[in-house]
Amino acid sequence: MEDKAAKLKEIAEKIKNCKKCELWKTRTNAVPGEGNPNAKIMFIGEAPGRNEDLYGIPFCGRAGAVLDDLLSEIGLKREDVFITNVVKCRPPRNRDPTPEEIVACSPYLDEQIKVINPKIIVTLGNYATGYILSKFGFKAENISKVRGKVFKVTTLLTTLKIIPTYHPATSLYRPPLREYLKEDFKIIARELKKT
Amino acid sequence: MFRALLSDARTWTYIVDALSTLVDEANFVAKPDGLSMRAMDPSHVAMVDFVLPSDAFDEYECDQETLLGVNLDEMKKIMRRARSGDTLEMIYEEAEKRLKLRLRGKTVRTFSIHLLDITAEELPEPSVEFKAFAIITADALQEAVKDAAVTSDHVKIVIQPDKVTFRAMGDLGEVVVEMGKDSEALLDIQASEESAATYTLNYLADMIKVAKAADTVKLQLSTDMPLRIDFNLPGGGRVSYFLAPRIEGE
Repeated sequence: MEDKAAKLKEIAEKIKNCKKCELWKTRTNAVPGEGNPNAKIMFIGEAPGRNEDLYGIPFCGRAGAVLDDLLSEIGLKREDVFITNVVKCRPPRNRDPTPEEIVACSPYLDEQIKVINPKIIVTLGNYATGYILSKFGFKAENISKVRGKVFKVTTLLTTLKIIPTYHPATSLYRPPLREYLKEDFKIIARELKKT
Repeated sequence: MFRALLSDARTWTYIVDALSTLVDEANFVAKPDGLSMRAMDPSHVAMVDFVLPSDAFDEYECDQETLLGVNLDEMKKIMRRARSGDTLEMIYEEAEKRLKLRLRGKTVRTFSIHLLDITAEELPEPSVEFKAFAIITADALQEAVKDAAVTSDHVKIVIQPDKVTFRAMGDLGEVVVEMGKDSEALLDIQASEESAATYTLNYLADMIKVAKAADTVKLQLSTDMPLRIDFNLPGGGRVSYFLAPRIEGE
């Protein structure tokens, strides 16, 4: 446990000092991610927003409140999971991250996954889903096509499941999507029970 | 001290090309009996195990085990500058922590790369009891992977006692490549039971890059278990890959 926490801290330090893309120039804080180093489940979003950038904490704005509710509905707390993003610094004016930014930043996420070694990865939104599905050799399809599906992955060291769902922020401007999120979180709870 | 000479620089170009597809940075281990590298990609889906014994080099000197931490993309860029007929000399400069790559052809070109301090990870070989193997020509594997990619992003490899089959199914069609005992491409085959598993073509497409430097390739698998691919290099070298099977989404 301490070993994993120390490794995650080391990765977080690298992220805080990172200048691999231009986003370091406009960030207030890098947002490495936080949570239980021994978590069975990881939630991966797109990139920090305004509040996350201000406080250096992932999902601490309005989208974070939605995520907290969804977690609570399936009996989970933030301390039970690990939450992070594909891109660790806020893109200016919350624009989409560029492919170059994703390429520069994703090795940090790869390292975090390697250390935590989760049994389930929940991808929130198109960017995280595209990156994680491609990383494990699946076709990156639009989130509306793959949400709620369970992708089984066998690596040389372990097995894990990828469950894509919408980004919680989408339910703020498209409230009907909240129901899909709730459905998908029930699937997450079901799969978590199996681990 | 480490110094090695290859009379055909392109051999190293193909090797570096193949290794760099899985990892960005890795340690080459230079020992008196040869050069090796073992690395796993960040997703843990694939592993590469490379060995080039001292005999495979035209000249080779190494007095003690030396870790050469290399950015493989940088090395690949340099090796792409190699021209047909060039020789390659690699020289480790301990004092400056650099590796010199000297290409000798019509001119003598020397490139230096700074070595990296990469934490050496213990990577045990995946323990799999393989139920079947097939030895095929390297170019036949290249063609089969390219054929499969026409229709899909994954391929099912089936080894039966008398043939090896590559089957790819996409939304719009299917590709089947068969190599039976009467095929020139199939050199040897053995299967204690029919063995089949599905693998991601992206990874296989990267792995077959080393086929340019090899004549034959040995495929080993068991049902729904990792695939092992051994490319034998001229002079006794070997590049082996392990690739985790792909299991479909629910």
